[in-house]
Amino acid sequence: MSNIKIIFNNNEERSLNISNGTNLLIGLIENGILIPAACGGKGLCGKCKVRLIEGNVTTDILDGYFKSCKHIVNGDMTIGIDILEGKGLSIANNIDYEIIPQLNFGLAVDIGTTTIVMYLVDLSDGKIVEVISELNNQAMYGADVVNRINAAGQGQLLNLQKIIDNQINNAIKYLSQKYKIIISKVVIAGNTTMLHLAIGVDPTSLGVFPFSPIFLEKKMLSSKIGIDCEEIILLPSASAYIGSDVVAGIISSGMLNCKAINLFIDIGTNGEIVLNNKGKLSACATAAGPAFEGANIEKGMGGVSHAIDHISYNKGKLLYTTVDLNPLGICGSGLLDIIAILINNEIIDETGALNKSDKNNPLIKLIRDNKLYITDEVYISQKDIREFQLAKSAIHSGIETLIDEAKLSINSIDKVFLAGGFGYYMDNDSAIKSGLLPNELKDKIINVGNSSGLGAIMCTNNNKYIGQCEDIAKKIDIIELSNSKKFMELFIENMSFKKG
Amino acid sequence: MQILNNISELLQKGKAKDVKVLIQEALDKGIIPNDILNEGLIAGMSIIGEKFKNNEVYVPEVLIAARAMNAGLEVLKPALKKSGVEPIGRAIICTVKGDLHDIGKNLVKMMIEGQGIECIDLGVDASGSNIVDAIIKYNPQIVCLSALLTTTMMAQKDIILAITKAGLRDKVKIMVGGAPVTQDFAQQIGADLYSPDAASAATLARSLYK
Repeated sequence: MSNIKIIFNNNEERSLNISNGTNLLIGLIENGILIPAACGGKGLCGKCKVRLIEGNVTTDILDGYFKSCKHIVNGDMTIGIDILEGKGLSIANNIDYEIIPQLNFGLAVDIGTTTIVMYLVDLSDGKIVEVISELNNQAMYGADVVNRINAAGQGQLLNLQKIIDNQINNAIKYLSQKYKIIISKVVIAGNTTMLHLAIGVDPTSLGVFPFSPIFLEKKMLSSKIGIDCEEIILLPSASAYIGSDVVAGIISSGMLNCKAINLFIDIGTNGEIVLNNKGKLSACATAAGPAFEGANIEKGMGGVSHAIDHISYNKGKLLYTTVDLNPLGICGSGLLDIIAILINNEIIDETGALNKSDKNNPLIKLIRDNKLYITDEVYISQKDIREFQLAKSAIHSGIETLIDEAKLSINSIDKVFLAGGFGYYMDNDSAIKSGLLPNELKDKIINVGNSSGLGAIMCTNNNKYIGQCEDIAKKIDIIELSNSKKFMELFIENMSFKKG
Repeated sequence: MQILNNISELLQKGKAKDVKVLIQEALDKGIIPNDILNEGLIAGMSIIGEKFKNNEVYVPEVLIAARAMNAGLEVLKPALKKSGVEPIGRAIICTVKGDLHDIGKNLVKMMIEGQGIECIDLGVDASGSNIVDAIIKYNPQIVCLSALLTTTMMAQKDIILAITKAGLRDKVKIMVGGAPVTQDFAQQIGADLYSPDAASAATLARSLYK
């Protein structure tokens, strides 16, 4: 046994006893200290770094930090851990929906791979009483669904279920006590993997071709599954990678109210794209990877405190804002801005290479060692730009493939409903400039915020919408990109940046 | 030789047509086909590989360069054959069972071919028995296995077991790669070789023939 003393950034302290020979990251997790580990503890991503205050470690120390997944506990030590806070995502609540007044309260839950958002809904009038937004604590098993699926397959299924159920149960307990109310139902939207994990169903088959889910249909469950509520409803999904979060988002975005041709896009670690061709729905999912959540970007982080979220360029100077506090990293919306600025100023050429030839360009002075420094600490590297090229091309090419499959032209798209946290905070012009979205969609974007959450709220208020979700889930034509030749061609083509 | 340098440079820029013209010109001048291959095409592809490793060029440029390499080889092949030059060896390559990602695998294939090694491509979603059959049929010295997902990397192990079971393990060197694969993992599953990127894979493959 070794004594591990932890000092948090809010000056709280904790002392743990962890057996010698235990991996430190796992030891911390087992003691309820939740550290995100984007790569799932393989020592690749560096996101589980903690500060060494006292003691020795079995791995490299860089600037006072070391990877907790690479240290095997072998003696007493003191470490520093920074807990970062996420921010809640607004929902664009401008669409009318019908409410059937009911007794009690409901909890509408949107389980994302990165964030879990819970809305306490007063069922008598449909009003949202409180919103709880937290990072999904499963992040310690990896940033993306594939890492989670892998962890579940390696004996962690029960732990993954417990983590998410605990987050929901803690919210139920906290809200019930705070408002002295009874929460009589929980309605859950989420991607297909998150839904499997929430009720302890092994998602292994979702991780390998041909990507078969164990269930897609709506589930009505009782507290026996581990969530402390008498009625639990899991909204229906359409396929392994078009989950009930997308289905609920389609309902709440208002895309179905339009008779024209429009798109619904939810950009996250996976990008989901839905095309409504005058009532005929088709959808695809495209693996963008976790670059927009900051996972494989060297100074990347989620949209949490200390993250640079917006950057502008004026008279040779980069100006930035952060979500909160001093900058320690950059999140997806900030990444999009800096890429757009560097393309505009020809620091990134069409192939994505940093171009250092124009010595008079003031941005050149910010480049050291193939990294462009936004602050003294936060930079974007050539490798980051390469990661970004993969991610943006996956989304861009997914959109083009879906439209091509429907034999439409991109100009025929009337509106684009952009959902999700990243879509909400990103600058639309930067999204076009950096090539994340096709230029033709430029003035057609409507940011709908957390459409999945709003869809879950609607379903909590009125069973009619659950029925609609079921109809839609059955109706969507799924386009599989992983074996689409067209997608592969576009994917390579769209890795480059376009001028002008 | 200047003309071979020019071939290398044009290949790096992906100018397939110009590469073809210059190779014909070099042949007409009586330059030995093997020199054109080594000092023109392979030299150019090696530079591209190195730049790719350092993030100076990216997937699209590598693919365009590889296209130019193939165009050049078309012109050069008959002459190589005439002068009795054979590929230095043979490899088979695939993306493993359950995985459909083929861009990384294709890059490795092109880089290996760029080293003068013949490369048989078994495509994606390849099983242990596919590979065992291919080893028997093609008699390669190297087997390259790609996996892009943490959920499919274990299939690399399954394939190595299948090769061992078929009694072919001593006949081939097995190289593994792909985003989630690490040196540690490669050792754990009993692979002979690991490479973090396409250029290193090609260099490693080449080193086996020295």
